[in-house]
Amino acid sequence: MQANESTVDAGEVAKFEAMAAEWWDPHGKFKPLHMLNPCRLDYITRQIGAEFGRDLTGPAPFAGLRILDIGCGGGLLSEPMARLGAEVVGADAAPRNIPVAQLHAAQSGLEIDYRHTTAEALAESGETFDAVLNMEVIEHVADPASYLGACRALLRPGGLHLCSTINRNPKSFAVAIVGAEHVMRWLPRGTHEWSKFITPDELFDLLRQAGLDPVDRKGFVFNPLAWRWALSDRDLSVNYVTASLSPVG
Amino acid sequence: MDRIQTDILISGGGVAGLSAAAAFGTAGFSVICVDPVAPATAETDADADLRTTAFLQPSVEVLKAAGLWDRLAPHAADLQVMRIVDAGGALPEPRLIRDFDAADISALPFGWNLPNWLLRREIVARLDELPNVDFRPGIATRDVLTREGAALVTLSDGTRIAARLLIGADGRNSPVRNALGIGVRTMRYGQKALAFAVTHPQPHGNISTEVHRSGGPFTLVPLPDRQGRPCSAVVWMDRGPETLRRAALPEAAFEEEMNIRSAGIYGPLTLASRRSVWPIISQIAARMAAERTALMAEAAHVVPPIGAQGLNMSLADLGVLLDLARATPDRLGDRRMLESYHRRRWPDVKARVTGIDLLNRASMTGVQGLRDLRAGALNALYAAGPLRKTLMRAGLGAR
Repeated sequence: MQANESTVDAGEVAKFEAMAAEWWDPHGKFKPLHMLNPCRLDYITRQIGAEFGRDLTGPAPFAGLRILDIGCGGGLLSEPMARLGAEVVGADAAPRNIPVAQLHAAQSGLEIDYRHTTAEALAESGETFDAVLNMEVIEHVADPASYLGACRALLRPGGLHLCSTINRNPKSFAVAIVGAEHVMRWLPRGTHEWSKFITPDELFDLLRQAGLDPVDRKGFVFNPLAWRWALSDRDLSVNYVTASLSPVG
Repeated sequence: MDRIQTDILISGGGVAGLSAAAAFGTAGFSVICVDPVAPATAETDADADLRTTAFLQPSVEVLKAAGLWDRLAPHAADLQVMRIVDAGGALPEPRLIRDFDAADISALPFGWNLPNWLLRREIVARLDELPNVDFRPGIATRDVLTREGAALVTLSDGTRIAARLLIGADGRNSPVRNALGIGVRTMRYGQKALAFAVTHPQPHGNISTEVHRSGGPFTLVPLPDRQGRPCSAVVWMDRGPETLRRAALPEAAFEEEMNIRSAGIYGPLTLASRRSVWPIISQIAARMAAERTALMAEAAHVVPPIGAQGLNMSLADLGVLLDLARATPDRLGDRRMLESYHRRRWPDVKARVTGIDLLNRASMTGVQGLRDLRAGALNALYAAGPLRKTLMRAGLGAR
């Protein structure tokens, strides 16, 4: 199966490919992702830890867990998961991201299975995972419903699906597109299309339609005074993340 | 992985947490209550809580709802009169005595006094009657993660629990509060309290007496007679080093100091228990609720032991939580319920913490002029009948 036959939009892939080499530059084009990363990692590790009963203070707490990082990019999430002991597959639809991520993992002394593939292709091959990380991807796919169906198929019974994206409202338009792309120039113009953004309620509905059980949502909120991101159970107005479970048995 | 599902998980098995377990259990909810320390239920236990609690009228309603009052009433001493003695003159003798009589405002006493170790014994016995309450002493709360629909808690023995409502009743250094990152404001006074029991030749007549001089009040609270002698619980507040020095004194030397400080109330006092030391602070949490979580009792508020406010505030927390839970059991622990809880409790808690802080600072004052001023304030309070009754009702929590 070819990437361009899947739900991945070919134009979107090309945009990210152009930026691939800059993934690991904390001051480069992915600066906002690097700033957000501690906050989303905190959410991801605590959700996985709670779901699978792992003590995050112990050594290699995720040992024995198989984790898929969809849209792995340069490996900003795959590497910490591997460091915590998980067996990690990093998948990206943009071929140029894969060598960048592989090179960096090797430099970091980590073993990560990076593949140029899509969620749909992996699902078709029958591979399954304890947890699927689906962070800042769904707003770039052409058919979110069928994409989430593939994510569901990739989960083992009782598996955990973590999905973050951007809300759709005037504030998110102002912050994510006007602010991040035009004013701050954190992201290249055209990175996001506002009409593809999904509200938390819409995402919960989509998750349910895909056969998943949504159990949590939190906002990622940027505090301009502290110049950092924090989790909020109240403010989901721009960036937010959800946790859902695949049914047991 | 397997998780135990419960309606309510209570972190903390002190008097407040145990009362909450009894109340929610009686209301039909499934409850798990954990505490790292097994409760000391005999007065002679080394870690027995020798403080006493005066339950004011509204608290008794909550205790009745918890099926506790019938067990507690036979052990309780009435508080009919609250007496404030100012011994703040040059000589350590009473110069102004003012009585607040419960009969002025109600047919009932102000409250009922019980030793804390006995409270624990009776509440634990009540929990044994409730099949839907699972009390697990010796187990701590290790990790908390709240999701939209449940609080996920990992206990120190590795047990994993999903609760619709997590109640943090786990004390002034609340692990639940810390896990959720809820801040506190703490006021320190450099004071500590000594708590102990005394016997005395003259009966207390169900009068609670606060003797004010400098360094903090010396409060005698009525207890049932012991071996044929009238008995009172004492809380003696003073600056930390002074309190520690007195706690270490030989018994005879301690009794001598104690009898100077008591200004002769009830005749010579005889020490009748160990002496335990408690630090005095005021503290208030920034919020009393977070996602799937309510803070209550000392996890939310700590006050100096003045005017019997501490545990009564805690039971008022419990009363509101219980009301909300019983009104809409299907919404237990959801955002609307917890926002109501915070809105109904926090302003009252804030006002009481502030008021008791001021009273305590006034009571600590060692300067003669200020002490005279305080005696004047007590006198004015007593003289102004209607105002005083309003204050008394506020103290009772009556409306």
